[in-house]
Amino acid sequence: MILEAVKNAVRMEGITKHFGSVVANRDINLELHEGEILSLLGENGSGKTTLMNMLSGIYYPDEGQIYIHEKPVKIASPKDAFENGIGMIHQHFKLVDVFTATENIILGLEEKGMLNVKKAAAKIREISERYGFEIDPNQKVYNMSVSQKQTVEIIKVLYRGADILILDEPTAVLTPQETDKLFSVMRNMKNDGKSLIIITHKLHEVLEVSDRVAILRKGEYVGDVETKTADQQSLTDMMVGRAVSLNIDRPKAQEIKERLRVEHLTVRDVEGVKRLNDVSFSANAGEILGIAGVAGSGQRELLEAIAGLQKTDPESRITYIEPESDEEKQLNGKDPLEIIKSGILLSFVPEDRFGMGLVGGMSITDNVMLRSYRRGKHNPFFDHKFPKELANKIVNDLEVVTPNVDKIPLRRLSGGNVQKVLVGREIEQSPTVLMTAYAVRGLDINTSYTIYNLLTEQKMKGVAVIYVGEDLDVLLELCDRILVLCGGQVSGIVDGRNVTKEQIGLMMTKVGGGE
Amino acid sequence: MHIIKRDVIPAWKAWLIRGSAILIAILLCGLITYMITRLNPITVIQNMFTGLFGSGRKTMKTFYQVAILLGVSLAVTPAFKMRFWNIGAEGQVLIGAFAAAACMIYIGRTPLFLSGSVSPAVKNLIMFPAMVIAAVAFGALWGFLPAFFKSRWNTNETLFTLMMNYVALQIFKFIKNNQTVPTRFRWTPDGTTVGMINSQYKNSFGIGTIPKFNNKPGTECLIPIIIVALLTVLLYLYLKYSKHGFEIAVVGESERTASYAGIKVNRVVIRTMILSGAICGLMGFLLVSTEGSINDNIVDGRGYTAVMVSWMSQFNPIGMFFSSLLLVFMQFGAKEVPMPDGVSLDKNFANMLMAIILFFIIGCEFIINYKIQFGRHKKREV
Repeated sequence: MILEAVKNAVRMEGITKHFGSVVANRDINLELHEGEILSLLGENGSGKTTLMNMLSGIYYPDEGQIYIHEKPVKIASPKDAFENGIGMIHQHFKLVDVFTATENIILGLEEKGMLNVKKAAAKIREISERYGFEIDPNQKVYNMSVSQKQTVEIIKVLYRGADILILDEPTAVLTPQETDKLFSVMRNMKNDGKSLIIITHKLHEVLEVSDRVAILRKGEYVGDVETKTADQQSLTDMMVGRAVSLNIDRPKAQEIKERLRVEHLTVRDVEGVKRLNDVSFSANAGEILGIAGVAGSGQRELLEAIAGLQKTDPESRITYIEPESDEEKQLNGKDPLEIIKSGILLSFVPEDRFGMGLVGGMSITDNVMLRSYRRGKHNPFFDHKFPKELANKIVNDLEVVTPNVDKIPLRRLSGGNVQKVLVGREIEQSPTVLMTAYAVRGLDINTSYTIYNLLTEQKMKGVAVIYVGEDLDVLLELCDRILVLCGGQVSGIVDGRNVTKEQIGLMMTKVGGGE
Repeated sequence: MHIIKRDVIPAWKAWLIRGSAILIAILLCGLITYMITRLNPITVIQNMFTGLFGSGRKTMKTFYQVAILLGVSLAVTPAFKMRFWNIGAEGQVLIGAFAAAACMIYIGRTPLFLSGSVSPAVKNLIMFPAMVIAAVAFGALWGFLPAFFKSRWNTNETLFTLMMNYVALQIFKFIKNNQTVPTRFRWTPDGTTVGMINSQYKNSFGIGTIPKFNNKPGTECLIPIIIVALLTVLLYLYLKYSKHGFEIAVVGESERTASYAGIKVNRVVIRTMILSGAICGLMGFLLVSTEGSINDNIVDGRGYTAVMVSWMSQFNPIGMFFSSLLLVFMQFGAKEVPMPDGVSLDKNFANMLMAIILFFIIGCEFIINYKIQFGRHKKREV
C-alpha cells in the first residue's frame, strides 16, 4: 500500500526562545500540513502566542530552524513572514478607524504605479465571495462590529497572498453565531488549499473545527493528536498534564435576598455617547449574577458605575440594601472613598488589572495594603505588619508562586498569580457585594476552577456576586441568573439553570433575542 | 544586534556597573582636562580637594552648597514620585528667597527695628518666624498654582511650572529695579544690586541672618546643614512610611488604580505640590538668611540640577546626598584650580566635565536594564 506523503506547509524544528531567564519555548518541533486546520492548544502562558509570533516575524528564535514548504527560511521581520506567505490575525486588531475596509486592506502595500482603490475593492469582493465573507469594502471601520473588523483583518492577510494563516484566539470576541460563521469560512479556506493554525484554549472549538491538535504545556511540546480520536477530557489532561475534573458545583443558597438594586442606570462616555442605557436589575445575596455580552457592551461601565468610578445620568438609581438592618443607601453620586466611609463593603475585581485594580510596580504587600492602608484613623503612618500578614495568607491560601511578598514588583509575577493576588485581596475584605470582571482571563484551568469555587463559596456565605464573563459555557454552569447586555441595554435576564447557549447568543446580538 | 530587556539584575552587579561607569567618566574627564589645559589631572583633583575641603571654613561652605542642592532635590522628589513633571523648583526657591528678603527689608525699616533700644534677640525672634512663614507660604503658592490648574483644567504642568519660574524672576526684578515703585518700597535707592541687606541701617543690619558661632567665618553654614539633614530624614520617613507617601506612590504608578482604591487624586496632587513648593521656599529662606543678600542669580540653576539629582538617585535620599556632593564637587571645585595665566578653570569647563559624568551615570542605567546581544543565533548541532 502506498501512503500519500504528507506535505508540510510549515515545519518548525528545535525552536527555543528565552525572555530573560524565562524559557517561553523549549525545543519545539511543530508541523503544519498543507490544507489542514491545526489547533494549537495550551493553557495561558504555555507559549502558544510566542511560538506563532516567531512564525510571523515578530520574535526571532534563539535556536532552531523554520522550514516553509520544506525550504529552510529565516523569518526576521513581519515582512519576511509575508514574503513566505504567512499571515497572522492578532487578538488586537490593528486597523485605522476612519478608513474604509478597502483602505485598511491596501494600507502599507508598496505596489508600483497609481493607487487604484476600485481595483482593490473588486479584488476584495472576489476574495469575499470565494470564502463566504460578508463585507462591504466601502464601510468605515468605526461603523463595524468586532466580527466585521476581524473579517477585515483576515481579508487583509488573504489579499497579500498568504496561504498559511495563523489566527490568535479569534473567537474570544465573537458570539456563538459569529463563531459558527468564522468556522465555516475557515473550512472554505482549507478546502481552497490554505493551511491554518488556530490558537485557542476552548476545547469544544478545537473539536469542532480542527483536523489535528498540537498541544503545548509550559513552553514545551507535549504532542499532537488527530481530532477524531480526541475528546474534551483527554485534551484537558494532555494540556494540564494530569487528570482534571471539569465540573462546576452550583449549590443553591438558603436565603436569597436583594442586596443591590440598579434602576434606570445611564452612563455616557466623554463624547456624550450612551454606554449604558436605562439599565435596571437586582443583585441578590446568595446568588451569582452572570453578565454576558459581546465585549464592549457596557460591562465595564456597569461595574465601574456601581463602584463609584463613573458619572451617571441624574435619573439613575443605585441602591444598596444593608444585610442586617435592611436600611437603604444610595450609591450613585458617591465616589469610592465615600462608599468606603459609609461602611459598604464592596469588592471589585476590575477587568484591567494593572490599569485599575493593582499597581504593577509595587509588591504584593503594598498591593494588599491599597485596601487597608487607611486603618488607624489618626496615625499618619501606615501599619505594614497587617498587610504583610494578609499578603502571606493570600499567598498560602491561593498558592501564589512568588519569591517573596514584599520585594518583587507584582508585574514580574505571571498573569495567573497576579490575578490570584487581586481576587484574594478583594475576597479578604469580607465583602457583601463582590463584582468580578473576567476574573479568569489569562488563567490556567486549575486556577480558573479555584476561582469559580471561591466565588461559589462567597455566594454561599451570603455575598451578592456579580460575575462578568466571556465564556458562555462557564456562565451557564456557574451563575444562578444571567443578565445579557447588548449595546448598553439589558437584553434580558434569564435563569442560568434552564437556558441554552444559543438563546444567550441571540440575546447578545439583539435586544430581547428575537430573530 | 539585539537589545533584550534584562531580568532582575543582582544589586551588587548593578552597583558594580554604576561604579565602573563613574570611574570611566572620571578617567575621561581627566584625559580631556589634560588635552585642553595641559594640567596634570592628579594635580587638578588635588587642587579641587584642597580648594573645597582644605580648611574648616572651606569644608563648611562646601557642605552648605551640598545642603542647599540636596534640599531642593528633596523638595522636587515627592512631585516626581507622583509623576508630576515639576520643573518649577527654580522659581519656587526664588520666590521663597524673595519673600524672605522682602521681610528683612520691609520689617527691618520699621521704627521698632531701627531703634537701638530693642535688643537684637527680640528683633530676631520676630524676624526669623516672619521670614520662614513668608518664604514657605510663597513657595507653597508657587507649587499650588500649577497643581490646581492641572487638576481643574488639566493644564500641562511642565509648561506651567516653567512659566512660573519666569513670573517669579520678573516679580523680583520689578520690585528691585523699577523706578515706579514708591521710594519707601524700593529695595535699593538706585535700583542696582541689593548687596548686603539693611547694611545702611546700623540697628537692623544682620537681623534675620543666620549667626556665626564665636564669630568664626563659615560657621553660619552649620544651621542650614542641620536643617537639611533633618529634612532628609523626615522626607525619607514621609515617603516611605506615611499614608501620604503611599498615596503619592500609588498616584504616580496609576491614577486609575488610585481612584479605584478611594484615593482622591486631585487632592493628593495639590497637597504634594504644596509640600514641594514649601520646601523650595524654605531653601530660598536659607539662601537669603545665610548669605544676608539676594540677587537674580541666587538660585543659580539649582532648581533644574535638582531634577537631575532626584532622578539620578532614583528618589533615594541617601543617593541624593552623594549625587549632590558629586555635582557640587565638580561645579565649585573647578573654580579652585589655578591656571598658568593666573585665572582659574571656569565654570563652563566644569559644566562640560559634569555633563560627561552625568552622561555615563544615566547611560549606565540602560546597561543595567537591557542586555545587548551581538551576532546571530546559535545553530543547533545536528
